[in-house]
Formats: sequence, C-alpha cells, structure tokens
Amino acid sequence: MRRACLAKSLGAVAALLAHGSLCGPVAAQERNRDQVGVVVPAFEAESEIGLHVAHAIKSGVQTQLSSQDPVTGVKGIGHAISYYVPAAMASTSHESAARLARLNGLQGTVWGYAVPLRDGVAIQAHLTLSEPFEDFRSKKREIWSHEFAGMTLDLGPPRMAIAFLPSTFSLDFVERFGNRSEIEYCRIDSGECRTFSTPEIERAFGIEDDRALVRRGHIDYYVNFPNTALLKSDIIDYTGIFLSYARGNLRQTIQLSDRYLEVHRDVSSRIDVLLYRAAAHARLSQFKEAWESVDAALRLNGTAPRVLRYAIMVELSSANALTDRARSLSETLLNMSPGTDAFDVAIGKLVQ
Amino acid sequence: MKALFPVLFICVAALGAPVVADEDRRNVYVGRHLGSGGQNNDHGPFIASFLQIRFNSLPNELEKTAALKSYMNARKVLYEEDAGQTPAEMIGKFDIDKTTLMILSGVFFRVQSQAYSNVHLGIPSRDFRLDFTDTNIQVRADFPAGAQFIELLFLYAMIKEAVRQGLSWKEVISPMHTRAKELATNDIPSKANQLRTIREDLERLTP
Repeated sequence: MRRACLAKSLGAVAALLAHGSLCGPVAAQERNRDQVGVVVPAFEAESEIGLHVAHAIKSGVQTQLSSQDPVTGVKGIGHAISYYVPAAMASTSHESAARLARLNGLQGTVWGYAVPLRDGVAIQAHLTLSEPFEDFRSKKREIWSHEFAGMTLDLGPPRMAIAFLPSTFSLDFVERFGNRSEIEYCRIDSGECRTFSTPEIERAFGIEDDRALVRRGHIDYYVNFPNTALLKSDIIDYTGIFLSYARGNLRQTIQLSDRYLEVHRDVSSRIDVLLYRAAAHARLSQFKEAWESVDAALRLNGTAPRVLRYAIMVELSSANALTDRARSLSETLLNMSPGTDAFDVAIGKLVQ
Repeated sequence: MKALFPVLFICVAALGAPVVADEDRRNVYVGRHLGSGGQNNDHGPFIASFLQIRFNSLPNELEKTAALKSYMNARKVLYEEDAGQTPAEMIGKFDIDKTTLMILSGVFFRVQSQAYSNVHLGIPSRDFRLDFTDTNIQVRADFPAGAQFIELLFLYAMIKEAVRQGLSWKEVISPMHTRAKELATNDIPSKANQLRTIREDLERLTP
C-alpha cells in the first residue's frame, strides 16, 4: 500500500492534493484483483429481440468497466465483468435474478422484458443485487464497514432491487450491436479485426472515446460501441456506478455519479446515486463532499430509511462520536424502518 | 485470485399462492384497450400482463417485511373485457365488485408503445376515489415516466387501502409510502395537479 503510494507520479500526487487528500484516503482505494460483475440474461420477449437487447446492454455495461483510478491514473482497481447469458430466466422475478447472480459467483443481474415495436423496441429493465455470499474475493467492497463503540456497522448498497425507467431503442441499434456474431473485435497491437460467434468470457479493462478495451483469450481488442441512447441510459450508468463501488474504485464512483446526476431525473435513482457518492467521498475521508451529497438526498426524501442510514454512517465516520445529529437521525430511522435490517438493529442498540 | 467461471444455471422459483381471505383480496382490473387507427385488436390482456409482472416485482424493490409481502401478494392484475369503458361504468364496477382497487381502460398505440388509459382507483363508499384520465401506461421516448405514474397510482391505492384497514405503519405502509413519495416528486408537467394532490395526501399520512 505504502509502496504504491510512493510510486505515484508527480501528476498523480498533484491530482490527489487537488482532491484534498494524499496517502490517507488511498488506503480506501487500493489496487486489488477481486472480481465483481453482473449477469445479463436474455430479456423476456416474444422473439429473438430479447437476446439482442441483453447483449447490447451487456456490451454497454462493459464500456463502464475501467479499472483505472480516474484521478491518479493508477490501474488495477479490481476486475469487473458483465456476463451475457443467451437464455431468458425461467421466471422473471427479483428472486430468480438474485439466484442467477449468486450461482454465477457475481453480485447482480440486469434483467427485464422487451416489447418489439414497429420502429423500435421498448424495454423494462431491472438490476437485482444478490445478498452477500461467500465468494473468492478478499473483501466485499460494496459493504461499507465502520467500527464504532465496540460494534461493526455494515452498510450495503442503498437498494438491492431497482426498476429502471422504461426505455425505447431503435431496432437498427439493437440489431447491429445486439447480435454478438456481428460485433467487430480489432486487435490493439495489429489492428486486425474479426468477429466471434460464441459468447466467451471477455473482460473490459478500459474505455477510450466510444471504444471499449476488451481482453479475450489473452488478446486485447478494441470494440466499437456507438454513443447512442442505450449508452446514455440509466441502466448502463447506474450499473456502472454499482460496479465501480463494489470493486473499490471510489473515485470512479464519484465521477460516474456526477455524470449520472447531470443527466438522469428519476428521483428514486438520484437518491441512490447521491448515497453512493456520499459513501465514496466518506470512505475517502472527504466528509464535506459526503455531507453535500447526503444533504441533497435528505432534501429529496428525508424520511427514507436508506437515506437516514447513509446519513448516520457519514456522521459516525466523520465525527466518530454519537453526536446530537447522529442521535436525531437514528431516532427518525427507528421510527420509519420496520427494524428488520441488521444496520437498524445495531443503531437501535447504539442509541438505547 | 482463483478465476471464477460463470455457470449458466437458471432456477425456477416455485412460488405457492398465499391464502388470502376474500374480504382482503383486491384486484386491479384492466379493461379493453383497442388499437388506434382502425386496429380492432384488444391489447388489454397484454397490458394486464405487463402490469402484473411490474407489480409483482415491486415488493422486492421496497424495504422488505413479511407483512408487506403478504399484503401485496393479495393483489392481482386481471384482464376483464367488461371492466367498463366510460367513467360511469368504471365507477359502477366498484359497487358491483368489492374487490376492486383500480380500473384501467382506454386505447393502445402500438407504434410508440403507449396506452392512454382512463384510471379509476379506490372505493367510492369509503372516502377514497380518484379519477385520472388520459394516463400513459407504457413508455414513449419523450415520456419515460408514464409507467412510473401508473406505479405511483397503484401504490397510492394500496397505501389508502392499508390505512383504511388499520395496518402497521412500519411493517406495511412505510415502505410503500417511501417509494410513492419519491415517485410523486418526479417532475411530470402534464400530471402536475394530480401529483400535487397525491404528494399532499402522502404528507398528511406521514406520522
């Protein structure tokens, strides 16, 4: 960790200083080889369009999977994959989606249904996260842990199941970029292009303009991906935020969250994104910025349990004491929440 | 780190139907939605299926409690050709069928995947009825919030019904209330008045 800190270039150090922190915060964002990812099964549909939609979404998610710290330029902040499954789930439900993610050793599933139209396709997509399970990772970075008063407070993602805004895409786009056998992979070293007919595992490790950098069979390729409505959709952006957070690329979480908040207007998702951003800042010890995000979320819904949980966590992390504000937020949480969440139970004990 | 090799394995959840007393059962009825422009085919069953899948997913998107799940599972979305087309017919349905929570009927535009529905929700004899007209059910490129508006109406009806039944705020009402409040905060200019009505009522219901 220390070696990695010392090895940073002057430019990277300057960038860190500009962010108000140097080596301390780096401890929260370290290089790691843990893999996180989402499964994208074919969307439920009357025709093959469900396959194409899923593959287009899978490719779109891939473009967000850079392992690079956007501030320091350090690479290797975890691995992330999006895995396409060329079959629809037998049952379209969050329970089935969580099970599918877990069975694949991944953290979530992007799933949904597609309705072909005369001039396009309408889709309803969801993101379902699996409950924490024993996997091969050294650390579950989507869980924010804080030691306080002899207790370990663990806070997971703001929501485990999300319905995105329904969206429409042109048939042309879905057919051109949803059909995996027609996507061109161009080698980075030689420029030679080819297609693949099989959905083998590939790992995206960066993005340049509209191109994803993909490693497949130990060879690195560029995959062109047009900057279309799908790439700008909340499906891709929100999933990218979750994956960056889960892999521990907290500065990327902040960057993607900033972009999301500029573009997307759905209040529920904006609240979640503000909470991801707050957590990322707080875990980087940037508490002023963390509070700005939490306050914005509180203004949107000051009685939502997930907002109150993040506000409490930010307060406890920054003050390291049960302040009046932490106590007041906790009391509101306990009034609003059913009390079944492990975090709420711990908070209940804390304020007793 | 050991490489993870994803395994395709899809499980089917065998979900048993919960036992629900008749007086607690509430239904969302979807009536006829004939295609526009001379298309006489009825898209009501399609819309009912769309809403059934959507509403089935909802409990998992809220703060989960056993009581909430049980309450929400007691609701079904049913296609009924004669649910009513005119406001008078739709209101009449509430008197005929005491299980009625919400009725939608209207027209369907396949090209842009949108349905304009007249929506009635609530139980007239119990201090709760709201009429909405020209409500988009599905999605249009320039109006993605349409489907969310229907979701809001459904949650609002469920909240009002739960309040009427005196169900637990923490266990049943609060999770729906949180989501409804956020949906009602979305900016939909064409629904501004209706959203304001719902927002004010949701505030009033907050303990």
